[in-house]
Amino acid sequence: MQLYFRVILRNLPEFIRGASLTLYICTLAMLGGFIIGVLGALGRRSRRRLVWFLSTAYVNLFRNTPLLVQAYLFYFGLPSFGINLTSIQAGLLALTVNNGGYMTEIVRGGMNAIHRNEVDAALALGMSTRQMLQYVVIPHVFRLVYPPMVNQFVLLILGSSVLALIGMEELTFKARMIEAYTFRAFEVYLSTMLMYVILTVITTGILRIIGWRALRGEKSYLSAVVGKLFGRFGR
Amino acid sequence: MIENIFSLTNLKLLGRGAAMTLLLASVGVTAGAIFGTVLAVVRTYPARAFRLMTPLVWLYVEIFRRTPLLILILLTYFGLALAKVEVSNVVVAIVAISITSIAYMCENVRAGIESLPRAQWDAGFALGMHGWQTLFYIILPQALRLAIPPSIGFMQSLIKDTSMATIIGIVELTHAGVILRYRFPLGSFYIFGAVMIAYFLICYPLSWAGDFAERRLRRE
Repeated sequence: MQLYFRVILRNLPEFIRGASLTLYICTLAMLGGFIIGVLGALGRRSRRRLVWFLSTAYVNLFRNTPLLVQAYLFYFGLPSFGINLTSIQAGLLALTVNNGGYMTEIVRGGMNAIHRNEVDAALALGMSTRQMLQYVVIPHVFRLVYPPMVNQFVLLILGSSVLALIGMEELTFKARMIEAYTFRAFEVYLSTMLMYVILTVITTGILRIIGWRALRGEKSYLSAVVGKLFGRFGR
Repeated sequence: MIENIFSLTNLKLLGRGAAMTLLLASVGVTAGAIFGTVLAVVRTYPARAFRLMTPLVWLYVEIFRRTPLLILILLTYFGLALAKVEVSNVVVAIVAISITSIAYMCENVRAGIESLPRAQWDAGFALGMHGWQTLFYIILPQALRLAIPPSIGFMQSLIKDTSMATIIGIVELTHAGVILRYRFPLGSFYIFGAVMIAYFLICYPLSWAGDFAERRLRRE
């Protein structure tokens, strides 16, 4: 039994191209998922029965079915309604919608952890609703939600490997392609596995550093960012 | 067209697929529960001999929790072939699923053990118990109970992850859908919709069990 890892080195550019698509898709899905998550969490806490029911049904449906089936549904199923998606579009759609379900639960968990008294205290200090959200509620929710979001990002990177099956040219797809023309299956998949490990270690490292920097001086840094965002839109 | 797609033979195919999905998931969870607990004990047991193995368990868990199951299935498939071990594809899938399952379950049990105060160990020793006695009569009964809710959540994600066994040609629920799609390309939406509903019906009741277990724990 001889292993030739030279094949990997020769095809490294392809691997890197695949890995960068993986990261790109996952970043987009994370951003989309965060927006869906905030809306979904508000929906799940809503007092209107219809809004509550729709958001709960969405979350439960997409959290209890495999990403692969969702991708197949969007890629093969939607054309019968005249919606033709490329594999990247279908994959991104499936990943975002799937991630949105998980993010809803994460954000909802963060919102539920906010005690009513915290809001009351802020209002009693004479803060306006905007100030209350900006200085008290959002920094606190963000601090609670950030660590599980980093975990979710890792799961997203791992989950996105499934999208190779609908032909999206990310890391797993590239690995299968290189395996197909080099016949060095074991070496290729072993290195792909290591690449995923490295990819997730690096991204969690970077996200933790960002989080650590953002959360350390939560009073100054984070509320300054939130303030800038809200200040611009608020006035 | 829908009557043709969901004829009796095709429903049987889907049913057999669902049975295979359940088989893969249940064997994976069982292996994970047994060996994951063993690894978690190795990682947390307060004895010098075990402390040397702790980094190895840590490495195992870190690597396999950061590997996509899809890649792991392919690696097992070709790795076993390279080692000239001839087994059926179902066994390959079970091996690959068990490897990840062990890593995740090890983390669940470890979290359970480590959330117990260290005084629990000391209490056992103070009663004159041996290390293993402390482990079996004091630590594990509490830790395993704490590990039940996250493990149910993991079971759900494992059931969903068995869909990746499609790639080595195992006819589980998703692959049954793919086969039906070959016969009825225009009915893809209904086929995968049905597959999705089937997964939902398998997975969703488990979240009730998870909620129930969590409520029981909180009451204690």
